Amino acid sequence: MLKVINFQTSTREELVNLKDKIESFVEESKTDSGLCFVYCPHTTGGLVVNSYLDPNTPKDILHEIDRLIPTRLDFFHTFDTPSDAAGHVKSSLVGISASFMIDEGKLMLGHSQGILFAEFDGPRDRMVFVKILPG
Amino acid sequence: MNPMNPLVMIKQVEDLENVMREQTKPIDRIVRNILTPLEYRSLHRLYIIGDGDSFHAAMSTEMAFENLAKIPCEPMSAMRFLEYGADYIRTSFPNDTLVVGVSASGRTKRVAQALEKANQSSRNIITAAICGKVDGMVGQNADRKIPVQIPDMGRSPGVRTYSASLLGLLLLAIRIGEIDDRYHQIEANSLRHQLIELADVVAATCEASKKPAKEAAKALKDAKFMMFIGSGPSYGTAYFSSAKLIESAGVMSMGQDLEEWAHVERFVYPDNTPIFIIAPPGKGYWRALDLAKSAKELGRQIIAIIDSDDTEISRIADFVFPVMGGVREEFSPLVYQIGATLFASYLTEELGRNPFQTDRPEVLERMAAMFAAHRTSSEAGDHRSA
Repeated sequence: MLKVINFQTSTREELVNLKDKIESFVEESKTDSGLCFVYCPHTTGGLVVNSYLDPNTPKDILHEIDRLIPTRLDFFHTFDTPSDAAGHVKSSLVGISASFMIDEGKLMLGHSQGILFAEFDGPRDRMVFVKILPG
Repeated sequence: MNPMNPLVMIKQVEDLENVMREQTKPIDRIVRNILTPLEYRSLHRLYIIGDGDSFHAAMSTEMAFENLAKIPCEPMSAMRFLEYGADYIRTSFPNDTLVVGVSASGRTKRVAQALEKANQSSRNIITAAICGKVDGMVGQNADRKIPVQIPDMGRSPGVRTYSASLLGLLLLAIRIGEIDDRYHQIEANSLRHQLIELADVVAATCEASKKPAKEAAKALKDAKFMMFIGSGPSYGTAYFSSAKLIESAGVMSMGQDLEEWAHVERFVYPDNTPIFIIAPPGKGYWRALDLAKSAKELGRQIIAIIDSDDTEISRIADFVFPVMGGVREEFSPLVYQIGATLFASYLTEELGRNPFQTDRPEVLERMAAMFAAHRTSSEAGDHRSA
């Protein structure tokens, strides 16, 4: 079972919570037990699992990533833009996939955990693949 | 010198679609790395220097630099920059000024001198050359080089070289805006893609313009003087179109801004003087429509170079050279010169002449000797082929 979630980001950097969409897919799949694999096929975006309840938490995460990898003008990758080059590095650091357990038909997520798509060079059209492996 | 065949210019126009399709990506790849991101971000003003067609290309692309990249741009003829421009450039910090010299042949002496002068006037200035051959004196005097090479098709007034220069400049404008964060790289890539897709518009416009251009050439062959008017990018197109008519058919003509025509040249005799109105959809269209009506009342013969869907100027015009597809105004010089260039070729045939007066070799020889005596021959006689 594979689902493609298409969406559009709206700013240069943001975290988009995909938790509801992924949970709905798990429910539709009627999978009682198994693995849910989430994969982001982008090189300037990534996946982060963290709290989304307070909007300042995603803000902190992005701010700190930006502090570690600021958009500088001396990246070696100059074919595109400096923010694109920074986005590649940020994407490499946060990663592009996450796996979750399914038990009793539900994702085993913590109370405040969200599945957040990290946009590092938006706004862009984005997609995320979700694969469910029963077992 | 053997007489030039006026049909070569028609072949050049027919080949413009290939220039767009085949040259846009290679030129873009060079433009992307001609400056570092830091240098691109440092730019605060731009001068584009050229003579003849290259000056017209500079005029035609001013809007792209100012509207897309939001960078002040000053097109200047090489002589003006050399003696009345370079000395007065105020720079404030490193790399805040880019001086681009454009030369289809790469051998235009005055453009080379202008770049040399720019380099000498301040260390804060970066110079770049957009040339067919970058190993010529223009390229040698520039810090950076953007080759815009196209295959030779035989001697003729330059048409494809003009489009190649336009492409180099437009891609530079897109890049400056992209790195300066005026728009996202996706939008920048969309603009680049629009340039490639214009090949279809160019091809369709060429086909659609041939019949009216031939008819207009027959009807207007006795005119001693013609006007080309347009504003914004079309001001450059008016200059270029006028140049092709002079170079090819040897008929006196003049390019002018819309509003300036209303102030001055509308008083010209005879009443039926042909006037080419270059009016793409965009900022200047409303005034072009006003003036088309006025010109008609004055008895002028109106040749409109307009969008094929135009329903207003087309009603007034005696001849319409239609542009077959939507083109954003900044890119319009790539397409809106086609009808006029074809007209120049057909009129040359009608008049039994050859481009650059090559049917009169004795006159050419006298002129060459005269220019040589004044030590200015290298650029004035630089009628490159393409």
